[in-house]
Amino acid sequence: MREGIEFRHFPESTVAYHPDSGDILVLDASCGRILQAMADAGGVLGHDEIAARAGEYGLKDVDQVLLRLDELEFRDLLRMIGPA
Amino acid sequence: MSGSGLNLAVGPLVFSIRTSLVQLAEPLALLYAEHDLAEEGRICDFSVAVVRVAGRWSFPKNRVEFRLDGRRPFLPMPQLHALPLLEWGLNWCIATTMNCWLIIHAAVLAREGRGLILPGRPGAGKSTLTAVLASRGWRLLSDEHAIIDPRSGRLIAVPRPISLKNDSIRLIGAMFPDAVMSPPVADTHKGTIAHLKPSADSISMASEEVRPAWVVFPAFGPSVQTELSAIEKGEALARLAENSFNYGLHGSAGFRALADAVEACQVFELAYSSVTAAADLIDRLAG
Repeated sequence: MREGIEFRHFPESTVAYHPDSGDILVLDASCGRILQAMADAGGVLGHDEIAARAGEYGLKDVDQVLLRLDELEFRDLLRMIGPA
Repeated sequence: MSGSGLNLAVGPLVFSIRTSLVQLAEPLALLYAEHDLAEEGRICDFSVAVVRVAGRWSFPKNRVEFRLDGRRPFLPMPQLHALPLLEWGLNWCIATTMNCWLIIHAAVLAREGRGLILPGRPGAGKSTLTAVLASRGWRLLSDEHAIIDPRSGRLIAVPRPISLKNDSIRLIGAMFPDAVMSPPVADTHKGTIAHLKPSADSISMASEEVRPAWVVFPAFGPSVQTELSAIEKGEALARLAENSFNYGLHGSAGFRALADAVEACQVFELAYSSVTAAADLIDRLAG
């Protein structure tokens, strides 16, 4: 996973920035927190791993968030966090 | 101006302007009447010139060109377009070289030290709205560049004449009969252009601190309802980055500077068909 992703969390959204590529990704707040969790963990996390971290990252409805993640352009996420 | 040049202090920058074109003397004296000349010995940031081009077979005669430090960044233009050419050239100087700062394509005004950033794609109505707000007493920092010092987060003022196009010239002239404007120049590639002189306060207060307080994305439409809508800060951050000339050069520092600015601001989209109603909404924001 790429290192050095920076995050800025706003009440309703998260912006992720990758300094090497200059990519910016705007996510809703919950999805942004999942991406932060993945960045902190150093890799793509599965459903159970995210659920285990839900409290730490302020995620209330993990299933709903994962559904939203599926709806996102997945290539945007891959571009941001890199291959697993 | 045909000798050593006119050394004009504009905010923190000094432009040395040379030209032998007599027709530029009067509009420059009009539009920059409140600006100081740079003190003797002060280094000029930009040495620019607007000069006649010798007739060549590939260009019509009576053409002028803009030069920066002897370089020619643009194609020649008709001599009648000399003033717009100079102003576009000065814009280009700032946008392409002042990379110590984060520069966004936006107008910026201020009230009581609080900055209003108006990012805008061409046609959004940014300059007309800027002219109305400036004429209503908002301090003009720039009609073209929102300049952020990435170290301090302050907005930097480089107050210069506001460029108005086509119908906006007549509109501003009618709304503010005492406004000082250069004579319109027709048939430029952007239509008819005139420049509105900035207020004396905008010049004299240029060094006073301004911090971002509002980001408003104007969107003019002839039949839309005029309204101010809050937008998400993440979206605002992404749109500011898109509107930036040099965001990529600053890397993480640029991201953090923009994010800090957005975090400190109220952010809106302003759809409007009436510039008066739009300015009223913005005046109410400032309280």
